[in-house]
Amino acid sequence: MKKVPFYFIACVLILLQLEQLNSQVLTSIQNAICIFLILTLGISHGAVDHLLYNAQEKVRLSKFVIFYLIAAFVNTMIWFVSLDLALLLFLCISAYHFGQSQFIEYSFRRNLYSNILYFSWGAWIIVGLVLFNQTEIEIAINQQFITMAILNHIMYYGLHYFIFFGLITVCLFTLKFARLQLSFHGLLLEIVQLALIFIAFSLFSTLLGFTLYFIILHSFRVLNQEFHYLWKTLNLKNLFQFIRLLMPFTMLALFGLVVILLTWMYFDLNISLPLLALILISNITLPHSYVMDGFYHSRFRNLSKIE
Amino acid sequence: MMLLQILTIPKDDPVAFTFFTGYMAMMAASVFFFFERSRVEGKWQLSLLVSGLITFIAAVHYYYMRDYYLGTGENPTSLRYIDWTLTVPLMCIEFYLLTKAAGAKKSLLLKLIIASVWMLVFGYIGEAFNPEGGSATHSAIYGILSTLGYLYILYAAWMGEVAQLAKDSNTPGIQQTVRILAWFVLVGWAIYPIGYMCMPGGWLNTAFGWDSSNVDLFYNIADVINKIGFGLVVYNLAITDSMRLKAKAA
Repeated sequence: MKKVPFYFIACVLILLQLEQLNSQVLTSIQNAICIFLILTLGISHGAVDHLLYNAQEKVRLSKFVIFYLIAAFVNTMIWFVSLDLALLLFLCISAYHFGQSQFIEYSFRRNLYSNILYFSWGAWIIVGLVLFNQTEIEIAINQQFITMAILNHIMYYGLHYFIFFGLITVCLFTLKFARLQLSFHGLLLEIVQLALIFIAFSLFSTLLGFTLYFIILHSFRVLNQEFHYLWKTLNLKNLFQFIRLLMPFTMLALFGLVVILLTWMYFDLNISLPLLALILISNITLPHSYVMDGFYHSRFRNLSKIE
Repeated sequence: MMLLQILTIPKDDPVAFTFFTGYMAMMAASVFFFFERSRVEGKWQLSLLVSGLITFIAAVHYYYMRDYYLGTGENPTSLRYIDWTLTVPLMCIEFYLLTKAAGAKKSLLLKLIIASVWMLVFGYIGEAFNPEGGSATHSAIYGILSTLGYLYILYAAWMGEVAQLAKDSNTPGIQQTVRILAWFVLVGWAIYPIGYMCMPGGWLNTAFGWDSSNVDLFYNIADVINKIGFGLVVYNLAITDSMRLKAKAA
């Protein structure tokens, strides 16, 4: 077992015990910690995208920033044109990105089957999150007066999608393991991890369940991959140097977030806060997923196995 | 008269049934390990003795727990924790014995025993001394403390000293056995914290609508699988290695 799944198991077990308290104060503290972690570790895992992009193609920083801004602008436009289309795009790309980061260390050959596996694994996770927190999500949607047909559709057919993506993932994953003769032990570990993710989604609040997955299993994993790549290419000497690399764009993103929030409050924009948050998150996610896809494709397989 | 009452096992009581089956299975496993001990090489005999002791101690406790449960209808919490306090450290000794040839020190044994006793003592306080009606704060505090002990053993078995020693042993058999035992710790032992959260008033009962009598059912099934399974994994290594050595010598 690697460190990341162990941290995940440890956190889930400790939080399961804490959950017995069922206290409002504890829930508020947990929510605050979750938001803090998403804003720091979550954002920072995409803060060295410009350096990762250089792995596939050398570009000037200014050019890269312009690419990021244009992508964010186009994405925002899609949100204004059609909420459903934008949400579908966001969910699909996130699903692929989640699955890709989960399995990339197995060095599967890049082909249609791998791509379907990445997508179905991520989609399984996202549908699971919605399915196991249906009531909570429904209340939140009703409170914010957001109407998104896609979300309603996923919630209505949640179980069907859950079984569908689950079957595809299990079949493709088992086939991959058999074909590449990977250890049975690795397969079992993946199953345990998945089971724990769904247990966390089902027993914890939506925010806590998602944070546990997103921060520990996704962001930590990606940060680890980034650290190992930059450690070799930039000759980093310690973790502090890596944190220094993460800082500028993390701070810039947080600053941008504050400016947008202040604008939203000051001008009393006709958009709900959860929707605004969703648009902002998707603006970061889409270009990040694109950069990571290129990074994984061009460089990752050449690196030694990540511990 | 008392004996007749105690020996009556209701057909619709899976808890009573598993107490009886657990007792018989543990006793049979003990006999097996004690007899097979003479068939393996000297270096494995202590490991098999420990495996036999684990199941024998559990069998004796299950004998009393079965009677206690049938006589009172209550959870035999104290007896169960006395059983675990003796058998779980013995399971940790198995890790030490397996990795001893690769250089495991006494300090490792001590750390594993302390972690297992820590886990059980806090679990016992959390379960047995919970105020009437069930205090969530009490359960949560002792539950977290107990979980920390479990996490240490899990860490040692998967990534820490035990895993490293198994790797350094350069013996595929030991590596595989330690890995399987680590799986027992991860999956098999995870039943115990789940059982802890299912005790009367436990929040998992509320979340899933379970009955608190399920605790004993979980514990009984887990005990049989974990204790006998642990022993069989060690036995498999011992007998395979002994046969290999005999074939080599012949």
